[in-house]
Amino acid sequence: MDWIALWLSLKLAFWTTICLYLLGIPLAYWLSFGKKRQWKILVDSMVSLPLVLPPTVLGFYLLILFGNSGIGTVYSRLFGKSLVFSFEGLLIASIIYSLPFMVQNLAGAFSLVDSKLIEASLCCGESPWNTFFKVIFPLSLQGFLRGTVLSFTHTLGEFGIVLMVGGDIPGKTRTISIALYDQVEGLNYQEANTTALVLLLFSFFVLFLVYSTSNSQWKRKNIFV
Amino acid sequence: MQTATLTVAAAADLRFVLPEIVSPFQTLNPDVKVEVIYGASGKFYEQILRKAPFDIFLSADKEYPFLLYTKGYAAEEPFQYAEGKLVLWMRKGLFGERKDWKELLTNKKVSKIALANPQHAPYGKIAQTALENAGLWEKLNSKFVYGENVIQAFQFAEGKNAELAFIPLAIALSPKARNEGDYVEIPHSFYPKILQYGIIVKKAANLSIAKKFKDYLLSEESQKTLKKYGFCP
Repeated sequence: MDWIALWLSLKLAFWTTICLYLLGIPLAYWLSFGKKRQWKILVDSMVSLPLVLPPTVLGFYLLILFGNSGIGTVYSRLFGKSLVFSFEGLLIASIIYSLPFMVQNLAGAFSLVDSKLIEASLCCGESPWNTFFKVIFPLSLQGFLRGTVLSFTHTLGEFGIVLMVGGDIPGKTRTISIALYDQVEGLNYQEANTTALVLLLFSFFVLFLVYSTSNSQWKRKNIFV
Repeated sequence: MQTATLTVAAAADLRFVLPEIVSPFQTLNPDVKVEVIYGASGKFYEQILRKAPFDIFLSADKEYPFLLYTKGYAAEEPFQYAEGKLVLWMRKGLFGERKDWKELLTNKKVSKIALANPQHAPYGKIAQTALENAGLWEKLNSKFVYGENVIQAFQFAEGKNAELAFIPLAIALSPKARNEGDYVEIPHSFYPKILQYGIIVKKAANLSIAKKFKDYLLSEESQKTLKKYGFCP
C-alpha cells in the first residue's frame, strides 16, 4: 500500500471539498433561487459539463491553460512555480471536475425546500443570511451530505485529469489511483490488488453510510408504491 | 537523515533494473531520497518541455535527450548509459520450439502482436523499423495492438490478449517474464543500435546530486547490473 499516495489523495479530496463549499453553495443558491432563467441554463450546462466530458478532454485544456500561456504564466510569476505537476494544479483541476457533484446535489436539495417556509422566514424579518442558516440549510442537509460525499470520493478516484496535469510525481502529484496504475505497470499485481480493494471498500462504505442516513429516499419511494 | 530528493524520470524498460542501481546508491548516499517515475520516453520529453520537476531523464533512445539538449533543457551534454536489445516475447509453450522471429510473426496462431506505441515509445519505433526492414509492417498491420509503453505491450501478451509482444530484452529478463514466457532476439541487422541516453535536466533542484547519480549510473558496478538485464553498452 502506497500510504504517501493515499494521504495525498485524501488531502486533495479534503481541500477540493472545502473549496467546493465556498464555490458551490453560492452557485447552487443562485441556480435555485436566482431570477435570470436564460443565464441559469447556460451556467447549469457549464457546471455539469465534467459529468459528460471525457476527463482527458478537461485534462488537455487544463494542460494548455496551466502551461506557458494565461493562468499558468500569471501563477508562476506570482508564486515562482508552475501549476502543471503541482498539488495546486491538481486542486484546481479537481474543483472543476467535481463541481457538478457538489452543485447539482445542493441545488437539488435547495429547490426541494418549501418556498412558503422561506417566505415566512423573510416576512418575519429574518435576513436572507439567517434564513439560509436557519431554514434552508437544515432542510437540505441531505443534499449537503451527498454533495460532500460524492465530491470527496470522485476526487479521490479521479485518474485521467491527474495523469495529464499531475505527471505522477511521488509525494506531490501521485494520487492513489495513479499509484494503482503504477503498481500494475510494475507487474506488482499483489500490491495493486490491495490498493484496489482498499479503494473499493472505502467507496462502498461511504455509499452505505450515505444511503443508511438518507431514509427519506425510502419514504419517498413508499409514496409511489 | 534525508535532506534532498532526486526525481528520476526513467524509460519503462528500466523498470526492473533501476531499483537494483538505486538501492546501493541510496546506501552510499543516505542523505538523498531517490524517486523514480517510469513511463514512455516521449511522454517525459513532452513533460520536460512543460517544465516537469525532474532532475534526471533516462531515455530509451538517443533522440529525445539530444532534442532536449539542443532546446536548452539539459544542464550538460547527454550521456550514454546503456545499449538495449529488442526481442519478441511469447508465453511458454505457445509455439513449441523456439523459431525464427519472422516465422513466429507469420504463424497462423498469431492474431495480435503487441508493441509500444511507435509515436512516443522508442522501442515501439524500433520494432516498427525492424518490421519494415523485414517487409512485414504492411502485411501485419491489422494485427498490431499498441501499448502506452513497453510494459503495457508485455501485459497484452502476458494476459493472453496478444500472442507476441515486441519488448526490450531487459523486460524479457525480468523474473515474471522469465517464469511465464520465452523470447527470441531480433537480429541486429534489422534495426539500428538502441543507444540509451540520459540528461541532467537544467532546472534540476540539486545539480551536484544529479551529477553524483549520473556518475554512479556510469560506474562499473551499475554497468554490471545493467549488463545482467541485457543492456550491453
